[in-house]
Amino acid sequence: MATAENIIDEVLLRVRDASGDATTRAQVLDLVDRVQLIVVRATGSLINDRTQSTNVEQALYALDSDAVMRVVDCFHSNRRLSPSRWSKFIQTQIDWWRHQETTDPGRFNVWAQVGVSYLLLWPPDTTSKPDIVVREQQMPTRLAAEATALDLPEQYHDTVRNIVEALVLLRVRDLDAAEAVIARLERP
Amino acid sequence: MAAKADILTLAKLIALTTEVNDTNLNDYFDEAVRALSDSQVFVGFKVVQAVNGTAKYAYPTNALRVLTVLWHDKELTETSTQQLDAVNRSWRATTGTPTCWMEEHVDERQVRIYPIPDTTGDAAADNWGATYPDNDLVFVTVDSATTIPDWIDIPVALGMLAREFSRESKHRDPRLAQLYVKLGLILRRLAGGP
Repeated sequence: MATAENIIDEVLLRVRDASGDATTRAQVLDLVDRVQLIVVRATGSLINDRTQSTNVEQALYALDSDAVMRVVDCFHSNRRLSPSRWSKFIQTQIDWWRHQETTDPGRFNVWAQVGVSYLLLWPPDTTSKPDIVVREQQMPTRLAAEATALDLPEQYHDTVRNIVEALVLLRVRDLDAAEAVIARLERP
Repeated sequence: MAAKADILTLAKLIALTTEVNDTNLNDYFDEAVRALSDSQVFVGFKVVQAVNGTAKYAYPTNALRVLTVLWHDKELTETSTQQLDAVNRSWRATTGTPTCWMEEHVDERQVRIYPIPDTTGDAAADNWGATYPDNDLVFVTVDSATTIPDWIDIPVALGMLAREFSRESKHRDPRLAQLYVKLGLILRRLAGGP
């Protein structure tokens, strides 16, 4: 498993600053740490299932936006709930706030992420409060030190290297080289 | 979540110059956060106690814009003075169970409820579910924020620098600014964010 140290070494070598004179190793570590978040989001890795207990008549649940990047899926007893865009959902359901299901109690059908802080599960009912499995993309371990391993499969490390390289090249105003790396990133 | 100070430090790390203007970067950050708010990244829910005979209610703190208003367990319909004039000439004095809301145009950052509530709600407390107080209002708002999601900090910093290096100044550099924009867009696309 590659550590931040490996990535820093390679980036500094690529930008011909192996000893970290123009850009220090600590500064590159900071960039690697931040870029890792973007690449994790892009790759859909770090998926974790969490059990969300629910309450009667409650559709809205808080998300820990420091630990969770986004909700990917929701399941009720292995049944996948339908994902919905929140802004569209509330246009079609006037009673989205506290709809009380009576024909099929305790059966959530729809989920929607609301901004970065809330999860909507619908429809709640008046008596039952089943547990819902929320599949989330988690935040990776932040790279506090060079010895920390990246929370990303090896095959994505080159994307991290390329992005950090582009940032460092922009930083030292090597615009021709930066443009070439950015062009490489643009390729699908 | 990343705070403004952290993003300003990041922007300066990427820029490698002390020439960038702090005041400008501050403004660019605030504008970037407003743009994120418009994309409904920061949505807030606030219970506001409905008061018998009171038509106008102030925006919750931090709210930039009201998306919708609920009363008890139903979403109210957004309306306008023109629409209400057309159906009820004395709508300003009508009381009853609220069905509509609209932006109040005389007093800024206020919402008017129609009909005027004829009951006072239980209490103003942000409880959802069964403990949600009866007959109260809930404001669903787009909120301002002082922090942004960590995964969007580099694209935001690049956007701020693109503006700083585009403006007339001693350090103006259109090519550098264009590369900031290009890389920022690639990273936004990768992150799948707004």
